[in-house]
Amino acid sequence: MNRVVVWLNRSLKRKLLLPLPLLLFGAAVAAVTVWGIHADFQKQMLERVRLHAQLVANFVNYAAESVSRPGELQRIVAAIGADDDIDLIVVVAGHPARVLASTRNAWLGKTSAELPVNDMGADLEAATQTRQSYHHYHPESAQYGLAAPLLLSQPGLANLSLTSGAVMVYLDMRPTQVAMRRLAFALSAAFLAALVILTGFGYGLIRHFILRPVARFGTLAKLRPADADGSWAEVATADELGALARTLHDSLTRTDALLHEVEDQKNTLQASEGRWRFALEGAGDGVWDWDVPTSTVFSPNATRRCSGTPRTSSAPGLRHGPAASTPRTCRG
Amino acid sequence: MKKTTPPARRFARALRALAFPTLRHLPFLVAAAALAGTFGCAPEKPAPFRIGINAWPGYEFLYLAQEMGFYRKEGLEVRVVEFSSLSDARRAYERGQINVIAATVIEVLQIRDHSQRSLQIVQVIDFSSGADVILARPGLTNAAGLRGARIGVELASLGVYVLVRGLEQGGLGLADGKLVSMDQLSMEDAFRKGELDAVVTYPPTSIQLLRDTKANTVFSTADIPGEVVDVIAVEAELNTQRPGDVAKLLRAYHRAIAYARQNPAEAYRIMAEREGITPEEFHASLTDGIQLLSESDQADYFRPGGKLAAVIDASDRILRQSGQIKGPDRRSNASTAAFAGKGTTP
Repeated sequence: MNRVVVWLNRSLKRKLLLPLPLLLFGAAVAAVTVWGIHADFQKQMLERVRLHAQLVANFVNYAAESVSRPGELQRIVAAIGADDDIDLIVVVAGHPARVLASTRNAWLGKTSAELPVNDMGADLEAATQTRQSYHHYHPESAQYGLAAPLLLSQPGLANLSLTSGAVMVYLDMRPTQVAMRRLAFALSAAFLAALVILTGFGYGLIRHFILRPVARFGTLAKLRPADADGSWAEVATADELGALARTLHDSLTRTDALLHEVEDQKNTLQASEGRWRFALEGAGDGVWDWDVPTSTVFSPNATRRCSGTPRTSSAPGLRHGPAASTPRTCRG
Repeated sequence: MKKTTPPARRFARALRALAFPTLRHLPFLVAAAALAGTFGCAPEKPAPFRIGINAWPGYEFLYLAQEMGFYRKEGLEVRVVEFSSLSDARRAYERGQINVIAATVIEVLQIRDHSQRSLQIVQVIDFSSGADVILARPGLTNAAGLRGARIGVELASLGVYVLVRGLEQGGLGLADGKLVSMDQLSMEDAFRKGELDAVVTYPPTSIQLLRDTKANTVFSTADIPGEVVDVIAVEAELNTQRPGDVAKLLRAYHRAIAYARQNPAEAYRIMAEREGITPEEFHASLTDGIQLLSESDQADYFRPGGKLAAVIDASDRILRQSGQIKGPDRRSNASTAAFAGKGTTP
């Protein structure tokens, strides 16, 4: 953990990229949301498909009660069944129930039990006998089947009562599913693309407005003796970075000035010391410099010759004070 | 000291830097472009072929190709949409429910006249040489006897053409009969019940009526050989945009014909079941009254000034005379030779 903190602290760029995991988390949340939307779409689609199948069944029922010839019903069923989302329609009636009309001509006249699709015959029989609707969704074939009861007119018969029957409608859900998948896919892709683009754009802005100026600070600080003021104008913007740049620039300027001052003082001191040494040498005997805090005595050559002490010596040798060794004593 | 850059200029410079990114930005842009390109602009799956057919022996090979999985073997998604009459198939095309139709030249001309959806003949299936008939109740033995008769006919389809040609033979016109608009199944029922004196029909209805009643054939296309031609017609846009798929569709169709030649019992059983007749009756209908055409016959029909052009001209003339089509002449490009004799036979 500590290493991570150290690693982070070493680079502003790393700190700026720190929210990236959050961004990825956001993408994951968005993906879950898209999945949720997709599931909701699926539910709504099934409901709409059920309504569509019911509408077709109602229409066939209406036609079955209205037509005067079986051929007319067959014609209507074939025309309705030509729509691309309708897989098949079968109308049965009688005992045993036989196919009166269908989108598949080969099934005409067959009994419900002879129909080659699983459960279809049983559903039709059940719908005829119980007068209730039955519906199934077959995910493997993307088909939705609805069996609904209906009544058929019997024109030309002595018995004018209506005959009970049933209609089976199979809807092909593949086109709707494909359209839905495409939509969900397009939404997800657009979201991800927007995420990537915005991330890139955001990084570009951060890089342009923060990382580059900060890097420029360092460059300018290194180049400072060469270009003391000119380039700083580029980074001295009105924002916080500009204030930082100005502060840094001012600090460096003041430091420069202080260094110059110290240098000048040093030069002045050296010059002063030189003059003092010259004065001492020129003055000859009996002059010494007693540095009281360090108890050190500096003496010119003439004085040293008189007193017999080295150029510098410790004060204990002169414990009687300067009066103990005077130029006059030396002369005598 | 240098002059400070104005903020607006700095911002413009920043935008310019983003608009013309450095190489370091490139991965982001490439990722974005790839995402958008892969997911957002993925090509749509081509629409399936939806072939409209009605009960007619010559069209059954298109159904057989579906049942035998020949379209799937060609990599095509095809659904054969079954109708009980030619006029219903025509109407379905005009409504956009189908994009391929098996019909006669008459329906093709009618569709081109009624609809903005352009249609082109790509293959000739057969010509009728006796299968399209006018059947009359016992007692009516010739076309001249149809004056004042109640005649069941599918309006806005081939039926009217056959009736016009039949009445002509009897020296009559359309106005001389009492036309009753009816589909094939209903006219069979009405004829059996004596509600009609005559019907304009074709197999399988004609076979059933001739088998079960004492109907007389007062006219048939044997009297006008080569005039009634059955074709496969495809939406013109598909011919230009997906010619490879159209060729595959025709290849599957010819494969079905070849299959029927090699396995007649199985093929006739499948096709006869859909027609509601026996395999023997189906076989008879194919050999008696219909002349199936092979791929080698196509060139004769599709060449400039060939047999098909002659049929189109004759049909157009008669349909205009009988008021079945009234719009501008749309015979040009009614057919395309792009698929005739171009190796569609497997």
